[in-house]
Amino acid sequence: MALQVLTANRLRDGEVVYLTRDGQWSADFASAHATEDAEEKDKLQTQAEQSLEATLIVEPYFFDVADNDGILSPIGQREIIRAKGPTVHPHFGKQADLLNAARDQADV
Amino acid sequence: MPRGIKPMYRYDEFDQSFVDQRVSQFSDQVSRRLSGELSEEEFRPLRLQNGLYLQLHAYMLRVAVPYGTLSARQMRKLAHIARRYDRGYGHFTTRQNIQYNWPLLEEVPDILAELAAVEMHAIQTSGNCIRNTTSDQYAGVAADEIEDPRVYCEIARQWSSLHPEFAFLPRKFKIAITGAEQDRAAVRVHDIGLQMRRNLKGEAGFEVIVGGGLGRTPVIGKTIREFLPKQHFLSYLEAILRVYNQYGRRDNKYKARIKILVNALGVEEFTRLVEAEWQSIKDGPLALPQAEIERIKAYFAPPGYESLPSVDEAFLQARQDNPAFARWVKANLAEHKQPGYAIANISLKPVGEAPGDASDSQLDAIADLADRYSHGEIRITHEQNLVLPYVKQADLFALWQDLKEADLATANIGLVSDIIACPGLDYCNLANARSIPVAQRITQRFEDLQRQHDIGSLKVKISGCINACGHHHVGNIGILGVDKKGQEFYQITLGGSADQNTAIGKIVGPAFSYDDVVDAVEGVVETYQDNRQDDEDFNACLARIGLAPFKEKLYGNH
Repeated sequence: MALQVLTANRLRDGEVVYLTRDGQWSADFASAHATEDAEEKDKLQTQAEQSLEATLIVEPYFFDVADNDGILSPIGQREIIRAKGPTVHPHFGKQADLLNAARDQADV
Repeated sequence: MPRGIKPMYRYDEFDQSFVDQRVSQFSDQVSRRLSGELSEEEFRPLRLQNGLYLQLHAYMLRVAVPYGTLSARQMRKLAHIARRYDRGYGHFTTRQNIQYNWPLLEEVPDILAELAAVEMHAIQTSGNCIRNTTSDQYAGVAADEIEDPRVYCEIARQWSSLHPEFAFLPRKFKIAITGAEQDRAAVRVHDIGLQMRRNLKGEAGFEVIVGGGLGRTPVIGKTIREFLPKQHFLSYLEAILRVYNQYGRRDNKYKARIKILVNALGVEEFTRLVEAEWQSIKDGPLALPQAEIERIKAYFAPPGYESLPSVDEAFLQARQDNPAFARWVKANLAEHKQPGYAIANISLKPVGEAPGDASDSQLDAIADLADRYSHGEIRITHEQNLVLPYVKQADLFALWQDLKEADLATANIGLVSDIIACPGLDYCNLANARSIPVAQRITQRFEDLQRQHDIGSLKVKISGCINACGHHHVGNIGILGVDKKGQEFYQITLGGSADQNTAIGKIVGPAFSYDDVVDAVEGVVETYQDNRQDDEDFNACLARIGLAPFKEKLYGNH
């Protein structure tokens, strides 16, 4: 069975979020929990349904990821773009936070 | 009304009251969604009816701009919304609307309230209903026009807004109307296209074209009536919609558009059904009295034109003295019906930028320029540019200098870098491949403006999926993004056209990778330049020489 991560959009602002190992929703792909275990996926799906009820997220689904020496990466252009932001606006989306963090670090 | 500002259609009490009520209703619906009282399944159709989509990274709000006509005051409001509620920019669309890519759900009711304050809304910009009726961006000022088509667009807007019978059609429904011989509104690829014509008595009316469309099944519309008298405009639309509503398929969304119905029934049978329905309603309440047409026409009265010589000498001198201004004049101006005036296009396609995007400060600048030079009016084009429709020739040089200050003076209207592109995989939930960066790379490849002018008129159109929002089927060069095992590939079609010679492009061969597609476009352009005779345009050249030289250039012996 494929290694997968559970993702959704946050209800309040549509932000892309990922389910973490401790059952929280994180906007950071690096915090996502990946599994290939069918039973565990069922549990994650149940957590997603509870989050839907709690009006935290919308439209949850699993997608395939790759594990390269412990570092996860999304498979497919669509999920790569969801994990970073629009390639045409590097200062918008999640990638903007990384840019700002790098800038802050450079300023220190 | 301030002196010099042109009258435009203004909301009456009914319009304002129903838009205000809708804001209030949607505000309540959002609150109920956020509290959990409404599920997403219950909320989704409500948000879509108010133009609110959920895209890849965020919500997207599509705001209606009826027939692409905006006042400077409305444009300033759009700038304010971009700045206050979004991320400092807006994106103009092929339905002459504007989209915001980053609104927060809880703030959308506030945005709608801001829009209502300037007689705007987002109603019927989504869903299976009659969408914003589009028109010729040069309506009312084109030298080749019979009558201003916006009068009929406005009548259609009033008729179709919250029309109870047509709120849940089999699929979305798009109407375009032009009053000119030169088709700038792509009427033959709409569900209904209306082209104004004169009959043998010299009376103005409409040729009625039905069943055109793009998407996964591109079809050129069929003429079902050569001449429709103006007083029957609404009753005939109603008859077409009734036939579609009754017979259109609802079991398969990919076969639900009217083009599929016209094809399934045959154009003769479809026409017979429409004419039969029309006979029963044509003299009823939908018949348009001349007085009502005149009442709406008054809202689109020409501004107070000055009596000017047909050519302004200072303008000619500036054009002669300044080659960059001369290039802008050549590409971006269109002939005005009033002596001494010009139609000025503002390109939203600068090198390396997203087609159709404008920043909040640019939107404000355009509003100021509209007030200064164009009687406070702006048009949006379906090719994702803007127009100032009433500029005196004597003001053109000053306007161009002001546009340069705002980075809005790109002289490329109708040239290879004036690309239509859908939002593509950078934003859109449906897309298979990116569109915008392909457009950006093409503009960079053809950055030399003189080279673009040497190539001449060339329509490049890019869609990120088969839904064809970027109109690729009707580009001289069409580019369709496809997904092959998670990788972006691009299929190239040649020979499409959206004007009075509407044509669907033909696939030239196997798709190109993201890295190779710009080289392929350049190869097509070079083949055209190498083979054209005199001023032959792209499609004429292609018709003469066929696809073979293009295939040879792109694929060699493979």
